[in-house]
Amino acid sequence: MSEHIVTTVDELNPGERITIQIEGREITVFNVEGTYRAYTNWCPHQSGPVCEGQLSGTWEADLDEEKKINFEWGREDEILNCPWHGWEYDVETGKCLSREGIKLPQHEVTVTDGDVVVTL
Amino acid sequence: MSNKGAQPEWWERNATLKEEMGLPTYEPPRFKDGTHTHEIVAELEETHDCDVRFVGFDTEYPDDWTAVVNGEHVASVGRHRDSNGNTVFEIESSAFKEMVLDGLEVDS
Amino acid sequence: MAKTRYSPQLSDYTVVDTDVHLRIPKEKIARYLDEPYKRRVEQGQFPTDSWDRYKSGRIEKGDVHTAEGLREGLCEQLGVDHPVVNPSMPWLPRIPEGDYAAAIATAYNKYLLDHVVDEDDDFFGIAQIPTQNVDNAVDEIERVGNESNIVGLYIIPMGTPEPLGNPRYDPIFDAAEKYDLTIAFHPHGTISAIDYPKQYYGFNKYISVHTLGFVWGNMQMIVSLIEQGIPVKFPNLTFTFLEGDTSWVPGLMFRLNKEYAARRDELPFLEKNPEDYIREFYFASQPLGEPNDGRDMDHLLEALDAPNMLMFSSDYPHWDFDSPNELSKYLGKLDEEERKQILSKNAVDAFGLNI
Repeated sequence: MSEHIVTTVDELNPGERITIQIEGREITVFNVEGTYRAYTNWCPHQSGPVCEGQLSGTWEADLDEEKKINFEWGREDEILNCPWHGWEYDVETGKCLSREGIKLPQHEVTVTDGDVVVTL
Repeated sequence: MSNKGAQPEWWERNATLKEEMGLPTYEPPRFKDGTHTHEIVAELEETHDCDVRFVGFDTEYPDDWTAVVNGEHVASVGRHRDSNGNTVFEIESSAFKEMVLDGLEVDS
Repeated sequence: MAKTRYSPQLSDYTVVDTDVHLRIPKEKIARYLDEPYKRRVEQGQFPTDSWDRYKSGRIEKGDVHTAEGLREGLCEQLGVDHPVVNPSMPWLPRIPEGDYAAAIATAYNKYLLDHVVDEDDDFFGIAQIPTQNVDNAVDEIERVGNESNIVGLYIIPMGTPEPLGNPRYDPIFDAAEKYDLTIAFHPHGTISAIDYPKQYYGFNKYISVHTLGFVWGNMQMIVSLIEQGIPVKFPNLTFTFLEGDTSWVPGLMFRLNKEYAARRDELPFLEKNPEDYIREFYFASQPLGEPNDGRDMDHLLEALDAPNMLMFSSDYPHWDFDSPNELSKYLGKLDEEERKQILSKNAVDAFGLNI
């Protein structure tokens, strides 16, 4: 295990991300409304730069009592879209929305004296 | 081309991770001429007692990244993923070295 | 979940990519048109549909329309040695005016030659042929037939009043055979959504028409070729099928065999089983399906006899492209010669490539 200072709290505002090359791979740290999340920048599909895809919302749907499907666009800025083929991931958990059990490799992030630290 | 004689221990770790994920073969990030970035960075950091990083500040693919030397933004660097999903920086290793040394204001 | 398939390094092989598209800006196409079509295109009157292919920017849209762009994006970055490029005007069959469609096809083919095929000796081209008017189609084949490095004809097998195996279209195959040009059928997801079958109007998601249209397009084209005996009439023509998926091909072959055994008298001109004809066709690898268990794809590729029938393709730079390594996951179980067949030799045979 190794610790790496990636940036400072002041330099990574909510909604922003920083991608940094550490030990031969790219790690992206997101500030998700004040919480930090760090992932390795390889899409489990075909190794695309998923962490540098657009953040967006997505469609959700439910079935009502009359068996009608109701669509709603929501979760704005919570969904990470791989720019290669559009695979969607929840930026807060790294979980793939379309494939059970598929998740981005995630890493611990801590804050020490204003430094944002990733542990690999 | 690079000297693979002394492979850093993270190389194998990254290769294993990609294999476990069912992804194509791992190769460390490299420059346009095939030299691995970690070799050049190690050389620069040791010789000039500096810190060299490749950073994407709020980037979306394929935005340019930034070469950061001792915390200073020295230059933009283009990059892309090859067919194995590994990173290639769009600059020759020699040109990158010069860029860093310029940033340090050291004679090359 | 650990997956430990062996994937050979594609950089160790010559790679021919049999389905490479261009995205040519309208203003550049307009330069190859005469009036009044020139002003139509310049004013933005260009057929398209309203599907959100790139998910409003969430999928990166590749924009390549030059030899230099292909050299960098496809050859250097993805490791392809020889692209077989089509100019890809995807909505060509939707243009109801035959002469306008012909002018558009010619403009695209001229652009393909000037800016791609003639610019790089490693590149090959397949010329797009309009299907609204057979005389126009033959004229275009005659126009490009002697161009070196034009190795085939890109035909969208949809949008016509009847399937392209109908005798009405024989002059197209005749001209192709005369110039030794390989036929490359390339379906399109949303052409069917306008023309046939009618219930296509009822699908209101792109995933549905995209899933079905490409499969349907090539599937009905194969059935039409067999129904009308096109391989019998034009024995020197080679047929290839791009971007239609291949997992259904074995099933179709076996079903046609069964049907033919019982209904041979409907096709008395056939000299062998439908499967035997289809096994002389070539199929581009993209899009490779993504089963939950990769071994299912191994079985499908084996049933297809991939080493003899499959040609690598990427569909670069479209949103549903396959990186070369997507195919290489399945090449690990093959021997060296079989891999070379899929990665280049089958394409060389199919298109008569000089490499």
